[in-house]
Parts: sequence; structure tokens; C-alpha cells
Amino acid sequence: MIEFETILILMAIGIISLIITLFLLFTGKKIEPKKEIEQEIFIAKIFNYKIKLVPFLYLKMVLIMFLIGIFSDFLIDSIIGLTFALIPFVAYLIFNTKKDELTGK
Amino acid sequence: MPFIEINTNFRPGFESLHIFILMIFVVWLIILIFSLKKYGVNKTIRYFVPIMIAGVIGEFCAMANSGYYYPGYFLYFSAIGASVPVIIALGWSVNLFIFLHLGKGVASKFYKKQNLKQLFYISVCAGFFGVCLDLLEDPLAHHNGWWVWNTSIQRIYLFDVPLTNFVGWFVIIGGMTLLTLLIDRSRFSENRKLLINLTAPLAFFILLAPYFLLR
Repeated sequence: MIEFETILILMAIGIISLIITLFLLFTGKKIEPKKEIEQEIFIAKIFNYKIKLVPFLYLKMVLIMFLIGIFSDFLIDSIIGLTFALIPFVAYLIFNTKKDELTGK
Repeated sequence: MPFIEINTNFRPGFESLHIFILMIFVVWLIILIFSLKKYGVNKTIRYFVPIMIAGVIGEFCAMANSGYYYPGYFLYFSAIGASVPVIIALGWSVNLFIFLHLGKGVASKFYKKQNLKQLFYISVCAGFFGVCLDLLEDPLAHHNGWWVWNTSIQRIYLFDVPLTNFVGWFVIIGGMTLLTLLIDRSRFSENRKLLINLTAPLAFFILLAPYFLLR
């Protein structure tokens, strides 16, 4: 249970932070944003599709956790969890697939 | 009590918890280097530090409220009677970075106009994707004792994990994605963006304090 003094300290931190945030928001000069060109960094190829670093790392994390689940006698729940956890990766693949320029597939 | 604590009862041997810790640390290191190369120091701090603050605040409050704990880790942040492993804080920055990019990759393809609505869709996607990963991670963590829930409290459970945990994931990842993208697209100088991004998550304490007083 949190003590009353702690709650007051939390509230004080919150109020000071809010004041600083509002001060920064309302006193800042606005500058024209530079147009940034995002570099496409592909690092892996799965089924003829190039894949970027972030979704690749996500897939790696999911598969490692799935393997931990299998080896710790947690098979059924791991399969259910894997099904849910693959949704972001599959959604990303559907919207972002770039066909291999070499094979044209 | 010091803010950072070292656990002398760190689990010996090599078990699933150590694989989990190693995995989070390696992924964190890779995306940190990737972010530094792609976005520079300023933007990298904005992508990594505020979510760690928000994540740790969320964990502290949830732990003080519902009584779950993290046994067997090495380094802990310790405050308001709760201890959160440092690796969990790093894990939150991994979550934000990955789900922000995946959310952007999906939502900006089905809604191409660059306006507030697009930011909202990206944030909802990021929050939803976070919950999808958590449906694998949290039951597995509970099963292997990476963190332990206090099951004596009556609440709704999904795969042995309180439903409020998934709501928390959605709110923290979705909210921080929205905040980060709003600041990203603002027309302030980079230094001001960084300051706003660091102070804004702390302002949420105002909402948490009445919550603890009223319950």
C-alpha cells in the first residue's frame, strides 16, 4: 500500500512536469520541418520477400519465446500465443511486401 | 532505500529466465545501434527514454496496487515499495520501437493522409500489436515464474493473466506511440521536442495520484 506522503510527492512531480511541458509547448518557436527520406534497410529474405530489420527482430523474439514455451511444457498455450503474436508480423508482411527484383516473383 | 538495487539472490544456473533476459538485451542493443545510425542521438533518446519512464511508472503503480513481483533478476529499479528489473525497463523501449514501426508500416498503408487520424490509427495498431505479443509473453512468463501474479485478488483472468494487464499494455504502448508521433510531427526544434517528450510522461503522475487516493 502506498503511503500518503508518497502520493503527494507523485502528484508534485506530475504537476511540475505538466507545467514544464505546457511552458515548452506554448513558448516554442515553430520551424519548417526538413523533409526526411527514410532509408529502406532490408536485412533478410523470407519466401522471396525482402524483410526489414524491425519486423525481422520481432519475428525472432516471437519464435524464441515460442521455443521456450515448447521446452517448458507449455505447448498448447504457446501455440495459441504464437497465433496471436504472429498477427502483427503477418499484417506487416501483407501491407509491406516488396517482390524480389531479381526473380520477379 | 537506493533507487537501483542489486539482487544477491540472482537465480544461479541457466534457465528460461536467462534466455529471456539475454534475448531482450540483444534485441535492445541491436535496435539501439540501428536507431542511432538511422535517426541520430536526439531522436534515439526520444524513442528509448520516455517509454522507459512511462513503463517503469506503470509497473511501479501496478505492483503497488495488485501485488505482482519479479523474482530472480539481477538489477532492479526500486521506489514506492516496488522493484522493477532494469531489463523490463529496456523491454518497454524495445516494445515501443518495434510496435511503433510495425504500426506505422501497417496503418500508413491503409490510411495514407498524413494527419491526426493517421496518427490515431498508427497508435491503435501499435497498442493492438502490443497486446498480441503479450498474449504469448505474459502466460509464458507466468508459467515459468519470470514474474508472479498475486492470484488471491479477485479479478478477470485471461490465460492466467489479469485482463487489466492487457489493458495496461494497450494504453502504455498506444499512448506512448501517439505521444512520440505527435512530438515527431510537431514543428519545434529537436532539443525542445526532446524536453517535451521527457517531461510529458511524468505529467501522468497527476492522474495516478487521485487513483491511489480514491481506491
